[in-house]
Amino acid sequence: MLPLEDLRVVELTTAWAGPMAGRVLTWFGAEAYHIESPTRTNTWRSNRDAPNPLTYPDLDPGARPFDRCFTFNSQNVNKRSLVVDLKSEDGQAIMRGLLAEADVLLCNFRPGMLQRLGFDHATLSKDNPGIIVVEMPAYGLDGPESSYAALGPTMEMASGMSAMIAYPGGEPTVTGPSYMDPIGGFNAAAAVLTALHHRDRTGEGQHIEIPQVEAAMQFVGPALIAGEDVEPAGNHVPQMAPHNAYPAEGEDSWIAIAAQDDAAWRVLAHEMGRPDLGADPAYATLAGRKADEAALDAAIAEWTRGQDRHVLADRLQAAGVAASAVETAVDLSRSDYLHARGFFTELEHREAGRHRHPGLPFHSEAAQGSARFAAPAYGEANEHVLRAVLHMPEERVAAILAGPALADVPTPGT
Amino acid sequence: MRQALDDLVVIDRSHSVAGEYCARLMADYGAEVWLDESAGPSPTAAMGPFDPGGRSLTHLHLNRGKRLGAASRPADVVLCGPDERPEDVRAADPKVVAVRITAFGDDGPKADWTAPEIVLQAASGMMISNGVRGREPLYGVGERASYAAGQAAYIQTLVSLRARRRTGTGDTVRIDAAETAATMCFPYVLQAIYNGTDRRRGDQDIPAGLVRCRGSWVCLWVYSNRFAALCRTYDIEHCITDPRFAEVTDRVRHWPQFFSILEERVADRDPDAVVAELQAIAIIAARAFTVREIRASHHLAERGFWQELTIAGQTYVMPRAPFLMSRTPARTPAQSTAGAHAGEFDHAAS
Repeated sequence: MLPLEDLRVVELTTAWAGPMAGRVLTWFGAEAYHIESPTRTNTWRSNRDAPNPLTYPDLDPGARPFDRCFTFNSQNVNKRSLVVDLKSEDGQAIMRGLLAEADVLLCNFRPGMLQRLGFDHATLSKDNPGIIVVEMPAYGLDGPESSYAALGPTMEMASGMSAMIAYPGGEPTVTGPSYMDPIGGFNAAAAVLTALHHRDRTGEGQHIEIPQVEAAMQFVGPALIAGEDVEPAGNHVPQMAPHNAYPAEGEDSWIAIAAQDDAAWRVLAHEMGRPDLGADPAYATLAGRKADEAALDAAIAEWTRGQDRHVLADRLQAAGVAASAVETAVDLSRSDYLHARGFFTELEHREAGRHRHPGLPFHSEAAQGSARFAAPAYGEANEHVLRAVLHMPEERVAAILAGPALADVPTPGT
Repeated sequence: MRQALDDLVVIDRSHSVAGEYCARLMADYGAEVWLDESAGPSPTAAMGPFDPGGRSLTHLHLNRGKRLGAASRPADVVLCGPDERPEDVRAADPKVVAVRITAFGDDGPKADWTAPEIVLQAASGMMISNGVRGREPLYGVGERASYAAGQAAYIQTLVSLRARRRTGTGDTVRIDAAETAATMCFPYVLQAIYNGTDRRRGDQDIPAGLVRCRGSWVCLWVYSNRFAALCRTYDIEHCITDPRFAEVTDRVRHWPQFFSILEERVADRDPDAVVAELQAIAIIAARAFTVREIRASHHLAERGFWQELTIAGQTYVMPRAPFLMSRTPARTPAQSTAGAHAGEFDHAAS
């Protein structure tokens, strides 16, 4: 038995942060229904502004491109899709029925949406006191900026991280490109499990707010406590030198190298064939190397340029120097390390075909999760929800399917 | 008011950012967490920044709310030390959840790798996306791979505890920071599997960019249906018909030129006012806040984000716990550290 297989999760989520939260819970066995709109297609299913063949298997959008997008299909493994118009009477009834026996409702839309729809915790908990309702507003549910919309890059700006990441004197950097989203997703999953621990003991559900920007600030907590601006210095750090990425063989090909202490520096100099640098008393200490770090960077770059980054990283690590190829997505897809971890699971997708899918980093002897089936096709669970979950009579099912409340293709242009 | 995890006892011997962050979250939500530094101070105590008295603010941030010393009753969770085998922990108590967090795992091709944060991020696939094409990729601040591994450890541990309630047996949890960092990376790895292609810096076709305002930068994300409104708001309506920007597909190639034009209009404007204007016309935007600006934020102050903790006469302003729970709110740093015998914690952190 999977550890969360007694849980039903309903996701009113889009893009990455919310779906990541649900993905974690389904990894451990939760049954999850990803609720989608017939008229506002999840941007991770469909980039209507700039459709890009790079998004699809074999560069082919196929007849149902919204089912073949790598972004959506990466984050919605193990879930079912219900496409329902929540503004319609039938849609409202379906959603209320689903939530009546749900354990968790996840929402990463803006504040107020659940209340407008009548799915807020205060309302739902009247009939379902054990329900855990999670809202993930970027800036929180209150405060002067709570109405601001956000995406991963803008949240990183607001968290203070971007201003800390830059070339010296350069502009703030958005990383990832949406690093904040998975942090928010992990925070939401962690919060659900915390609330579940309480519910298992008391029967009580609760409302949870994940103010994503604030929650991610934990990652830079020490700087916030210090209260002083952090001057960006590229890849240089106070506690190690050299500490940077250096060019390797190939276009946009790099290796990260860090001399974690004085001994590692001497080993690095030896590997470079520069015993003169290793023996130079000016570089024997961290302070000495920091004082002339640009010159050391130049010497290392001259050495690494033209070398295979993977071979060189293996060699340096074998010698005891911290190093890694700056891996690309293609590198990761072939990674021996990730393969050894069991990171990839081959799954068959109705529209996208059979592919290895990236997993999650949780390993356990007694409570192991898994990727069991691929992301859902758009609206694939519509009939299943009516019949098998809500147990509606056939006449009612037929009437709803004949009406506009459900859909299995997006409204054109959305 | 009770806390969600107030029935748990946790021993933290991890001596790492990831392990200590995992245990800190447990302390935030009510667990009795014992920081075990009997084998020597945690390396996080040597990590900056430092306060004027030399206290590590990293150690303070990661260990607030914990007690120093040995637990007085059996632990539910043990964050294993750097050289500690979870099998040995469980042999002593089969009901315990033993958590082992490493960089690249205890086996596999990189098990012996030395892995400061830059190595974890380089190996994750994230770093190659950061910075300017042609220059060295940038790694992200904040020991972020390690913090994420702490989140992952927290998640798996709570799942394992839930399984224990049914089975009565403990568990061995293993988390790799490198694998966690790969999970947090934008999922271009599935794109590579789907069609063999890769995306790098400069290839991303997202409609986002930066403009410099007075004293700060603003990031904005311009969906196509808001482009005309943006141009009208900043009196650059000529861009609506400019052949470089008129069609979405052309605009994607010419975003840098567009953002340069926009920047001329906002360069001397207050960044907060620009963000407010943009949000008012449904354009997603944010200012690149610095630490001082965050500390001065009215929004965060109104929300009660900052909480104070006083140790040995020194008061620290700290971020509150990351998620806000209606029935089982987190302990404040002051509450948790009072319960954790501040004097002992003071000793631990000094």
